[in-house]
This record gives sequence, structure tokens and C-alpha cells, in this order.
Amino acid sequence: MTKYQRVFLIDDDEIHNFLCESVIKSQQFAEKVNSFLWAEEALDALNGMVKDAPQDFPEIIFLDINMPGMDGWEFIEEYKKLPLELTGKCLLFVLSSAVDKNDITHARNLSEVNDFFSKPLTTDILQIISEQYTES
Amino acid sequence: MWVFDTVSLRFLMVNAAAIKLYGYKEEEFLRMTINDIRPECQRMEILQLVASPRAALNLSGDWVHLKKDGTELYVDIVSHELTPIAGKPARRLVVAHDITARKQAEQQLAQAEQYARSILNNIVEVVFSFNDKMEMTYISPQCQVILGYSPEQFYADKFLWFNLVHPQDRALFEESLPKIRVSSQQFQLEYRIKAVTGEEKWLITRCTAQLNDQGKMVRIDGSANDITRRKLMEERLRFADFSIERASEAYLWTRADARIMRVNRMVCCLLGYQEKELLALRMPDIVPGMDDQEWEKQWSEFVEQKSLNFETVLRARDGQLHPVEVHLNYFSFGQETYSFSSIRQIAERKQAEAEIASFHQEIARQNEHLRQFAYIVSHNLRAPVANIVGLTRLYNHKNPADPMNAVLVSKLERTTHRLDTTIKDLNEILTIRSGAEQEMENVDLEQVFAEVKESVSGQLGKYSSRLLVDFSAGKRVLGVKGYVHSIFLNLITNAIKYQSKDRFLEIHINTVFSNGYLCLQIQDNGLGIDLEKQGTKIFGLYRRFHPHIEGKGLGLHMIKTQVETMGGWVEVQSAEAQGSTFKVYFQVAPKNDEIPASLLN
Repeated sequence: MTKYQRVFLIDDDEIHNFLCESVIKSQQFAEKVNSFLWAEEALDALNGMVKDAPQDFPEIIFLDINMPGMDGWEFIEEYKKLPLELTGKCLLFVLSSAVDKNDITHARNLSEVNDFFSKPLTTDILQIISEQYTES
Repeated sequence: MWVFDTVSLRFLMVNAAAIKLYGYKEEEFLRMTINDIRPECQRMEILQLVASPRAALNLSGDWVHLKKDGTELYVDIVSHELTPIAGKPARRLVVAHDITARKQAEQQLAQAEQYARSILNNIVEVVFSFNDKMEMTYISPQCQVILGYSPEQFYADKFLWFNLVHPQDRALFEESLPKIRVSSQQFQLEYRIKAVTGEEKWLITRCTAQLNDQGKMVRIDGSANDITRRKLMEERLRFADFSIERASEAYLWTRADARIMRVNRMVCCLLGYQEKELLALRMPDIVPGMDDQEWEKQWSEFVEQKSLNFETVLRARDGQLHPVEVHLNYFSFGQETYSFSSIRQIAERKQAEAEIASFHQEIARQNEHLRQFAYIVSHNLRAPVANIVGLTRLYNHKNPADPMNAVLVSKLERTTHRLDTTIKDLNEILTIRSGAEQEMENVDLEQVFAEVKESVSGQLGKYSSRLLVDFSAGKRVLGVKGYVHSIFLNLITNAIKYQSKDRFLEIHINTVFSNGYLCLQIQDNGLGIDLEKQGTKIFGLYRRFHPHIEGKGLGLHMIKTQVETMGGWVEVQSAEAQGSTFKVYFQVAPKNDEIPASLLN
């Protein structure tokens, strides 16, 4: 399995973040995992990297939709404004508990979103990402 | 008187009376013959008469003579043979009696009779006379035209007329006759009679009794006229009127100048006016917002369209407004133009429409709730379930002693607890939304506030002095006490939870009347919310706005649900870093509750 440098987890659900971290670690999917309970904080972190450490910009972002404050959709609106040379190399996956068709369709229709996955994050999902999105 | 020679016919002698009557002088007479006083046509006749053998006294009868001036003279002639004198011609004494006056009178009478007959024959009425025994003594020939019976048939059967009268109308005669017999006034009767064909005809009879000096009836003279056509028309008109009056729709006629000219009973019922009152009104009097200018505008539209259907409102006598559906027809009759409107009350339909609209709203609301519920199921219930699935997969079954397992179990516990809480929250919200369990009552805001303050005194702690309360504008509302309690609790604990670190917390609580509602205002100087960004979601379920502060995002949604269940609504004004003001609008408790119980007794 491909090993990514940095993965961002953006989800207000602490337990799910723990779950994701555990799965990612167990599969050695990424070097570093950063969890954010608030989308605003994740955005701040990304902005900081754009400015000071573009090399640290995550390769993969797992984004929840239904969050207090800024939600997933709003985050995507802000994410669009980031420099394309960085976001272009980053894979953005919506990871939501939603089983609501509208949410799924909406997510998949956004060009910034690479795919939509339903929670929980499993090794299977990591496998799919690893196989489909890694440049050979 | 004169004497004449029966051979030569010469006058031999005339008296003064003859001279005066005929206008000839004596000597003129004596040069004339009796032929000279007769018109040409009689001369042959008189010659034959004179030549014929006659009795000594001859009653010659009526003759026409001519006066000297040529005018005709009617005379009764008697001649008498005079004793013959030997050697002299035979003589006759003639006595002429002037009957001109009598003759003229007779002629005039005959003329008058002919004249009267001509009139009688030419008028359409039947003219009749009855004697004191009510036997028919005269009937004009028109009876043939109207009834098909000849006058002779009526003379032969003197009571035929009465026998032809419709049995139901005979009572009319029986009732009227005693009055007619003793009065010289004209009476008028309308009745049905059977013609010879069996056809029923309507007649109008006008008759007057002729009374003698003792006031006793000697005759009844009168006329009868065929009014069958008029009666049929009247019947049709009455039938039409009857139908119009009893119609379940209101009918109203107006003139071009907006004057009401006719209404049926339903219009009176609908608007609460007497017919007479309505006929004195004009359309602007019963159509709110209508004036002369507007009427003229509408009238020209009527003229153009001829027939219009529309909905409007009519004002009744008591000022009440009735929604109605109007079918209006414009027409001209004679020289004038009119409108005829059929008006149907649609209050019930309007109410039904309003009910349907409210059902629709309710259904839309329920649908929105269902949608929200589906969303909650999708997100808030699905999320902990997803966690449980994920956590159990990580569990190390091969090595139960793996230290990771203990961490997973602890996380599982938290997740299941969260799931349980979410389900309980949902249940509570659904209970409030169903609205069935709580009765509306009079609630004293100040009293409920005091209870809330008491129940959270521990949490309030040092902040209790920061509550600035003023219920002087009003405190009694119609609501559910438990909900009001929950609203206070949520708003106050929110204010404490989301206070700003930069300033001392202050919470202002007051009430104000607004459009028939009592508005409870709870204002804080806390963190505030950026309404431009969050406005649409602030009262949504499981919405949270402040990072790092514990909360489920249930409180404001709960407040909204509770307030709406009580027939009110909630608004918020807020600015980031300045604070928030929540305005909760309650229905006001009925007024008489303000009156102290002591006064009510």
C-alpha cells in the first residue's frame, strides 16, 4: 500500500477521528495524520502551510460534511480559493455518515471532491484509494 | 185645415192654422192645388188616392208635405167629405195634424238605437243586462266570439251565464251579488268561464246595479271582457317572480347609474336589509371600496363584456363583509340599460379553501419535519452507528489482552451513550412537534423565570446578579408551562455558556407588546453569532456554532419547536463579539384573566 506523507482528518466526531487514525496507522497509510474537530481550524492550518510550508500540504484530506460552525460544503468553498498547485496534488474525499442520496450526489458532482465514502473508514477504503489514485 | 175640390184639387178654403203651418198666404193657397204642397214622389199616389172611392171619413195616415220654404212637414191627415151642393164639385174637408216633432223624435231614437247597436257590435266586450231576478235580458253579439254561444242561447236559458262560470269561482258571485244588488257603485270581478268548446277563459266583468227610488235593484248592466291572455301573462310573471323570490341564490338588478332597482329575498337575507332599504341604495353602498368613478369604469367593462364572472365582497347592513361569487349580465331593455347579477355566498367555500391551504401548510410542515428527521437519521444516528462498526472492526479478537482493546471498549461505551442520548432527544422533539400532549394554559413568565433561576442556581452561581429582569410591560401569556420553562433554561444557559471572555456577562430580560403578541426579549453581551453566515441554520437541529464549547446543538432547535407549537415564533438578532438578542413571541392570555378574581364575583 502506498504510504502518503500527510493526511488531514476533518470531523467534529472525536471518536471517528480516533478510529481513522487507528486504521491509517495499522495500514501504514500515512506518515502523519492531523485531526481537526473544526473545519475552521483545518482551513487555518492549510492557509498556514500555503504561506510557510507548502511542502507540508497534505496529500489526502478526509472531510466530514455535517459539522458545527463551518460545515463540509463551506470548507470546500474556501478550499477552492487555495493555490491550485497545492490543491491539485491533494486528494479530497468526503467521508460522511450520510446515507442521504442528495448529499452523496452533491459531493460527487463537485470537481474538488475526488470521491464520497460512507463512514466508518475501513481498510478497504484505503485500499481503493491506494489503487485508484496513486500515479504508477 | 182646408177644403179642396176633389176634381180640380184646388184649395177652396184654408184656415189660419194652415196658413201659419205651411207659410203660404191665403190667396196663394187659393191659387194652388193640394199637389203643390207635396213632394214630387207623392203626386201619383195622391191622384190615385183621390180617384179611389173613399169613405166619408178617411183616416189617411201620415204624410210628408212641403212648406212654402221647402222644408218637410210630417202630418197626420184625416179627410171628411162635405155635403155635396148641387151643381158644385165635390169637396173634402182636410184636417192636417202636424206630427213633425214626433216623427223627428222617432227618427232620432231609431238613429240612436242604430248608433248604439253599431257601437255594441264593434266593442270587444260583451255587454249584458240582468233583471231583478238575475235573468239575462240582454247580451251583445260578442258573446258568440268570446264564448261561442249566441245571444239567443242566453235568452233561451236565462241562467246559462252563471252555469258556465267555473265552479270554484261561483263563490265569488255568491259573495258579491248581495253587495252589488244594494249599491249603485261599479263592481269588478275576475273569474273563469267555460266556452262552448270546453276551453277555459278568464273574464273581467264590470257591472252596476240600477236601483229604483226605493233603493231596490231593477237591473244590472255590465260588460265582460276576455282577459285570458293577460291572465296567462300575469300567471307567467307571477311564476317567474315566485321562482326568483324563492331562489337560493341572490338576484340583484341595477340601473346604469348604480341604483339598485330590484332584489330578491336572498339578497335581503344575505345583507340584512329590508327590500325597501336596498332599493334606496346604490352599488357603492354595498361594495366596499367602490365609488362612482370605479362604478363607471366597471360599467363600461360590463357594456363591453355583456357577461362577467368574478369574486368580490359585499357589505351587509351590520358592516359584516361577505365574500361572494357574482355572475353579472348586462342588458338593455327599452331605452335603458341594466345589470342583472346572480350572487352566491362563498364564505363556506372560502373557509374550505383556507382550511385546505392550512392543511397544505401543515402537510408541508410535516414533510419538512420528515425531511429533517431523515437527515437526522442519516447523520446523527448513522454517525455513532458507523463508529460502533468501525471500533468493533479494530477490536483485536486474537489477542484480547491487546491494550488497544480497552481503549476501543471505552470509546464504544461513549459512542453507545451518545446514540442513546440522540434517540432520547429525537423522541423529545417529536413529542413536542406532535403537540398533542400539552394543553395550552395561562403562564406567568415572571413566575416561571423565578423557578428556572432557582433550578439552575448552582450553574448560575456568581452570574445570578448579572440578570436584569423587567416584566412590567406584561407577563401573562398563553402557552405550555413546561415549554416556557425549557425556553428560559436554554436561553439563559446558552448566554452563560457562550459569554465573552472580554467582558462581564450581562443578561437583560424584558417583555414588550407587539401586534397582539407578548414578546419576551433575552439579550446577552456574549460571543454572538455571525447571522450572515449562520442565519439560516441557527435554529436547525444539531447545529453548533462555537468551537471548543460543549454543546449538542439541540437547544435553539428545541426552543423554535416549542414556541411554534404554542402558536408563536422566535427571532434572533446577533453580531459576533457583541452579543445576541432572542425574541420569543407568545400568544397573549385572554384579557379577563387580568381582572382580579375578587372583582369577578
